[in-house]
Amino acid sequence: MLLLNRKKAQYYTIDFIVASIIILGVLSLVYSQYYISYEQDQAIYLSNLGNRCLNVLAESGKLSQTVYNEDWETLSKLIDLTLPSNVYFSFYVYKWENGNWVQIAGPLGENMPSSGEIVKTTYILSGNYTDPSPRKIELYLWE
Amino acid sequence: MLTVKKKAQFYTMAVAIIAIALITTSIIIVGIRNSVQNVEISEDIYFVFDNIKRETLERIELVLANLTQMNKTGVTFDYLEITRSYLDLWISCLKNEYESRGFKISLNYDPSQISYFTYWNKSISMSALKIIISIQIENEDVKIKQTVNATHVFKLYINKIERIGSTISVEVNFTKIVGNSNETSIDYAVVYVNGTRANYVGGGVYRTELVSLGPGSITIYVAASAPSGTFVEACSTQ
Repeated sequence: MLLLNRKKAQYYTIDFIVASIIILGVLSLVYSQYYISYEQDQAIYLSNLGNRCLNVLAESGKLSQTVYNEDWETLSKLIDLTLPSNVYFSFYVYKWENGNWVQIAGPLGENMPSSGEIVKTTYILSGNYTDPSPRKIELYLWE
Repeated sequence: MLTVKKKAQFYTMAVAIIAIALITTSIIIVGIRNSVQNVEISEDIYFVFDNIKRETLERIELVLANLTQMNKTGVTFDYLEITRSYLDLWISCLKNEYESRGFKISLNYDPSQISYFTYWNKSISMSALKIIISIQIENEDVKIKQTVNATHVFKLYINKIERIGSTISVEVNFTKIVGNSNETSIDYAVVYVNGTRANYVGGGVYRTELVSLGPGSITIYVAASAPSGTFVEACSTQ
């Protein structure tokens, strides 16, 4: 009788271990799929926001005006106004010089976090009457 | 007594297994989170194409602004040479940027199809630059190609001068026609009439009122500027 009970207990234990492994595997798989797609959706959302923000400023002429006047404070304010309040940003500005991009400003805006999801969007400006050299703005966004 | 001991062992083992399962799950979750920190998303090629097109048109406007200004100051220049140098620098910049971001990009123009002309009358100031430029960009999935007939025109003229009592009402028209869409961009021009900033009344028309200094002729001098540096001038004597 005792031997039979011991056997039963062993079977239950093995059952339990196998069931745990299966449940664990399925949960991990579901979580990983969900998490990756969630992260991608977030990245696409931030990327669209960044693109829209730079586009709006470029179309209004404000992007060119502030970048070529090197008025970083106004540019920061304009970007801040264009983005939702829960989205943080930082940006760099480069100048096209001798076939290379040379950084002229940045990082400006908020301090970039060392971890977490950060999305980069870029816009190239074609020049200005006072300075025909193109400029590039790299905008980093996170939540 | 022995059964109770066995039961206790069984429960201990069960608790240990659950604990191990939880720890393993946590490790797996943290691992997944860390491994997907750099999510790769492909750039929106349509957005990129629109930017390239818009800024290329702006670049052509910049060339026209420079040619107009040089023309007005009376400097002798080779418009084809200047236009080519502006475009070539722009194309090399775009190629460098977008090829480093995984796009295949090609911008071409035929120098023999570039034309620049001006019409300087006393009260009309007009300059135009025509360039046909082909823009092509592609990634792994999409290829976009468009030939843009980038004809830019700046036109400033004095529309109407009217003497009413002791005031002279001046109406000026300034238009900047950009690209092949006939899109008239008039919003950021600043127009001065004899040093007084004119008010924009819509449709490319600017109006101001000057004080008449009595009978006799008056010379109306008009200057327009835009952020790209378009400085065009016209004058009329009434």
